[in-house]
Amino acid sequence: MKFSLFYEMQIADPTPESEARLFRDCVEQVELADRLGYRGIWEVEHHGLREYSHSSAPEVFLSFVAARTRNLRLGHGITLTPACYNHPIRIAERVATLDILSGGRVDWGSGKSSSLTEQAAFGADIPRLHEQWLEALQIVPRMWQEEVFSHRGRFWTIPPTQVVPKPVQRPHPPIFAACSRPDSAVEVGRLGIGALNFAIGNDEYLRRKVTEYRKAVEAARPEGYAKTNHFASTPVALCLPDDRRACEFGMRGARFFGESLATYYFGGTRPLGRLPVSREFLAPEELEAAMAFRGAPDAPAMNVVGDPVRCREIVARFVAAGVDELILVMQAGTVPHELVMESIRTFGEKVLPDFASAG
Amino acid sequence: VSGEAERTPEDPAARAVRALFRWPVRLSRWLGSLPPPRERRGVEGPGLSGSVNLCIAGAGDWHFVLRGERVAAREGVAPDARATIRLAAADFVAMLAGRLAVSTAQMTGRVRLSGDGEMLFLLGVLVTQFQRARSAPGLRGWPARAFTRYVLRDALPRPEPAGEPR
Repeated sequence: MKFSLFYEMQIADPTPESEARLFRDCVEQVELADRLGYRGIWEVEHHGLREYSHSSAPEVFLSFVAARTRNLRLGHGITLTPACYNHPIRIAERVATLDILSGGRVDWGSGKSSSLTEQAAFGADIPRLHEQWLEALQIVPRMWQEEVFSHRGRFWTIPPTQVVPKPVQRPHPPIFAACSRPDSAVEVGRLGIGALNFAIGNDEYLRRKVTEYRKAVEAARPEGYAKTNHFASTPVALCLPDDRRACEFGMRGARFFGESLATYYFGGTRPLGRLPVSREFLAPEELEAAMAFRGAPDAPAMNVVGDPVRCREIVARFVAAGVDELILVMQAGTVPHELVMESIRTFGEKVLPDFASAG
Repeated sequence: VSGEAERTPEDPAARAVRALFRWPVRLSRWLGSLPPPRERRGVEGPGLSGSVNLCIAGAGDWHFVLRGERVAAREGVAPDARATIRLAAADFVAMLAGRLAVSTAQMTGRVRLSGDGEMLFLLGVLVTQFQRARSAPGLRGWPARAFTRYVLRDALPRPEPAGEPR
């Protein structure tokens, strides 16, 4: 099992000052994770999802932290590939440049966007998003490998062009895609690329997704790029020496994360202004119930929250399900920077070493 | 948590649930599905698809069929559902009344889910739409407000009669 950190750049009730501080805080968190032996970070690309995600220029953040870290993998989790967001040549160029500057530390995740907020803002051709993602996924790796690249497709026609620079990883940086349901995990597996999966559901559901992904990816014969067989899951996490304190802040963070995600992705609207989501701590009786429910047989393994003992128990469930990497969402919108730092340190020193040899 | 076996028709929470679903089920039967929210009309976006069961202890079993932008409500469970959500009628009504967040209910085990975890968001959507209807503005919002008042008419605690301050 490998451990990384996930960055949406969340912030509750942002002001220009707190937003600027958030970016500096995240750099500090990533530097600490690098020193403690985490595998990497994954940075999203979203546009206009105020409070939920202020990470609209991940390539800039990743470049900045590339210069401030030595070993961390730098993941695009994910780049939006439909035509309205990023031209495939620009994606290939940026990722290759980052790969050179970071000494071959880039993982490239791709996706299509599913929030009406960004789709409408960019004038996305919504019924064609999936096909555009697939076409971009086929051509970007070829741009990294072919001296002279040309393409005549449904969405892009590119005359013979020398796409430069080339990445330093050979044949190219590992390729991933976002998926959350068993059918989308199978589709990603069939494409022969790594799966970036939101941790939603119980252990059995997760195990089924991993199994179906493995079957599909093992049978995959991708043309034009190298296969990546890797299943990553993305739970909200907060690990502190005191179990109750971890739960107080971690569950409040998980609630903010989940509700703001649901508001943008499933609300059917384009929210503006302060999101109508929970920001307060759970009431004492709710907190007790939530702490007790973590160990229930049918409790979803979606929040790695608690003291190191509890976190090890929950991580073990992901190991049992066959997950390769946990991308921990410690930076949730209502969790103070100081606690994120303490959590990165506690988890890195007390949990991570126990599982480091399992992968 | 189970559905039919514990049905108690006199329970105000159960009555509220039935009042909520009676018309969506009828409309779905007559029209094939419910009209989509205005913002998503004409959009075949990457939303949820398939069926999800909602088993409300004491208030019966229901399921929703999602196809693109369309949703249909039906009584009973769908055997091929992608997920089953189980909860108590009183908790469901507390969600509709804004006294219990779906995320809190899930964290504390008051909502149990089997199958596709993403389908839990449907419960959140349902609750959000209901709360939006409760505060729908103006004259055009009156039918929505009246419907939500009708649903919750017996389920919410009545204000205590004004008396001498103690």
